[in-house]
Amino acid sequence: MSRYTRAFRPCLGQRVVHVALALCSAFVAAPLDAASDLAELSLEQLSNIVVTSVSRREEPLGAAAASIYVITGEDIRRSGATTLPEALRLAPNLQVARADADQYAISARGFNNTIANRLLVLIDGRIVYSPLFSGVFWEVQDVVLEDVLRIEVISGPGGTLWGANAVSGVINVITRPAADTQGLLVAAGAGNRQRGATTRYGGTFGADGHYRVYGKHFDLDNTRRADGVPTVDGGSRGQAGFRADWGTARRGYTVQGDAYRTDIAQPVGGSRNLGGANLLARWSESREDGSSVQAQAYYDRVERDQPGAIREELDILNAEFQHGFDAAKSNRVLWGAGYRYARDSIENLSPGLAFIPGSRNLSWYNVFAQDEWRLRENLALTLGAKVEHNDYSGYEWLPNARLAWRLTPERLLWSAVSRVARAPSRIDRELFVPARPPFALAGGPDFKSEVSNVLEIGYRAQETHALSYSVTAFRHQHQRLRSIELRPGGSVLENRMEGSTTGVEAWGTYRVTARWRLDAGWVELRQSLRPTPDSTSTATAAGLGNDPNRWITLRSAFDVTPRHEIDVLARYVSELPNPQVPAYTAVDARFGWNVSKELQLSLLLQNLFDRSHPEWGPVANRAEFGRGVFLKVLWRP
Amino acid sequence: MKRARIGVSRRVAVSAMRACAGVLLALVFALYAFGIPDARAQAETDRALEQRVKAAFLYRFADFVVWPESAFAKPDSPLVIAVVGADGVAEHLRTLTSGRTVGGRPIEIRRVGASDPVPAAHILFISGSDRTRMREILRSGPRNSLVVTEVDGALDQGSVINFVIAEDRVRFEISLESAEKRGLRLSSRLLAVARSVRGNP
Repeated sequence: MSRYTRAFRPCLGQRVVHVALALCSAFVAAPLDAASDLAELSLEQLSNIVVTSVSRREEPLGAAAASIYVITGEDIRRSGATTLPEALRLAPNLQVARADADQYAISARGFNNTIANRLLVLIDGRIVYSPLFSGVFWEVQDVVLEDVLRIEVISGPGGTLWGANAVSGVINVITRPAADTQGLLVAAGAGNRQRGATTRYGGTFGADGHYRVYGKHFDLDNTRRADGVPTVDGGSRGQAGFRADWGTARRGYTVQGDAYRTDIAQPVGGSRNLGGANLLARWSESREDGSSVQAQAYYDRVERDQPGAIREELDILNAEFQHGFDAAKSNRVLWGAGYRYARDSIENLSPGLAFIPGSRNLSWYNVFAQDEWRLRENLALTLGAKVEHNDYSGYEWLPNARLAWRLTPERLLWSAVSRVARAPSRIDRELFVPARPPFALAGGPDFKSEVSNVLEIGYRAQETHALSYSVTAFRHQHQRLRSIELRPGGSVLENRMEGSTTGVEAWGTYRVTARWRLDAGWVELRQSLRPTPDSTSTATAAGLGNDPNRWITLRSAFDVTPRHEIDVLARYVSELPNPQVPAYTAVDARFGWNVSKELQLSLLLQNLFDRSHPEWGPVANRAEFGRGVFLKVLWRP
Repeated sequence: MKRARIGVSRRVAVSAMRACAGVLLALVFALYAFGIPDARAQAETDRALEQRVKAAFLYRFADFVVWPESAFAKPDSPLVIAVVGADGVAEHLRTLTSGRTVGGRPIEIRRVGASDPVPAAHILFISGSDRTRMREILRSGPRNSLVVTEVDGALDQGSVINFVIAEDRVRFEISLESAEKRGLRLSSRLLAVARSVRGNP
């Protein structure tokens, strides 16, 4: 062992010297240091200095008594991520496992699954989960990543504000207002596993209106199994959309929409054709007295043609309203209501499974209210509740209480207790296997909501300008989880599993220098699930999720010069138990070169030290992810 | 055999030492070239950079504003920049304007504390740290003063230029109505760089 070390040292030493010399000689540029330098710059040059602020980064978190991590647009740019799910790997409190070229299993606090159903995902206020299984088809969720302002990732229950389905987390993707995306942007990239191009143009209209339009196209190659055989999952997607904002800072209007088409190869039966379109309108107003009103409505259409399985046409209408005001000197009240209607029409194509009835009209409505009560200058108690009605289980009651104690302006101690429910979806009640009787497995006519009671305690601090961190401990007590019960005539979905999820999530940022930032995240998760005494189930918890005990992320963002960036992202995920997926460590590196104000080049290297690794699925036919190279050009004249 | 082994290990030791020295040299070189991570460098956080950029803007704005003649007592009266509630910005301004003039006039920086009265100034920057005070000053704001703020919606309350952070950069928006009300003329070059301009030029 020591011989290897010795033999290795000279090589390492030489390498470091070479790298250091190469870096020094290659990038000789004057950094923006002395204050007086700035006085020489023109207004345009001043407008172009990046000042991502630690304090501002903390601002949206503010006194939020929740485990919330914010991925900024700058984080996404520096990660080199090309798709939304890849960008979500930046959130230490999310477990992201790539299943194949297009599909992902993403969750917070366990129960991870490609049909995970406990995470609520919103893109600019539009809920993107499918009522088929209350989860997200990640292969059709896309945005122009350059236009993302931030992604708020809340781990833990968000039911009171967001409703049933925000059981163990909320992902809130927020794009920039159109005023922030003016002018032309062209981005194009190519690599050994993917190719894509994006164009966006932003302009003005009327006295105070801004708009942008965009189009993008993306191709993903087939992945391969460990033995080198292609898994036939390559995809091609195109998407176009727009956003228009007008009004003043006090009263603003937004209209936005997208349309997309995705084709994904399948081994048999031809490709999956997925498509859709949505249109959203929002009005928001803030008044002199500190009150604010927001209303929004949208229409969302989804088409899924999945040869050999189903053909689905889904239309969703959603409307919501909320109003916030100061009730007394120390009380802030937020209340609102929402209505959602879905017409889901399914043609069952497979003899193997069917949704019965094929077509279904579903509606949900809710009312919520919360009061943030400032008990003392540095102590706030938030009490809130939502009542939501769905067609399957009737009324659900989603209360929570949160206490935030600001020990000093930079240190926050918080705690929360919540009750959340995962309302039944079509898969729980209306899925039948095979498509005709006798059924081996049938949705449960009495399937009820899965319920969790959650306790969280967290601490967040900005210790110095350079160091900030967050630690959260949590315990989720689950009741009535989905189980498969043996009944005369076949198995039926019922609610006879219970158990708990306990864990700790922690992350922090350390700015070593003004040019070097380190981010680290660590999650420990323990799950204990069992059938209730009256259950006939012999199955384990495998159907509910497949989770690692631990995952760790490390990120380094280094500005070699103001124009040259080196980013490294390393992540470790421990073994998944069932089906077994070995633990893995993956390291990605990115080199960015800001050639000029208008032109950026970047090179992304994925899985640097890894021939290939799987992240999800049973060993027989699962995809492995090998080394990837991606070169990107971004031009913003 | 034995000697050979010693020879090998000495060679290994020497090359290891050389390598260590190399690493050290490279590190020193790298730290020198890329900025030494000491406590002072840490303090140079983004927030400080944001303040420095704002300070630079406040100084640069002076070139693009025409004040009425009555705003200056004499042709060589100083241009006064007052900073309310942002000592960092005032400090940066002092550093970066030292020895500089605007249109032949010297520059005078006035730092205004929480309870100090607001002096007459050609450029008045009100930080976002105390919004109640900001509103008060805007309501009674001195004429002939280019009032600059950094709070969303401040233009509605009478500010002329408002800093906003957009795409991780310091940008600004302008209200021409407020400028007119305060007797100021703004150059079209300033308007061209603004993120948005309210009112008709």
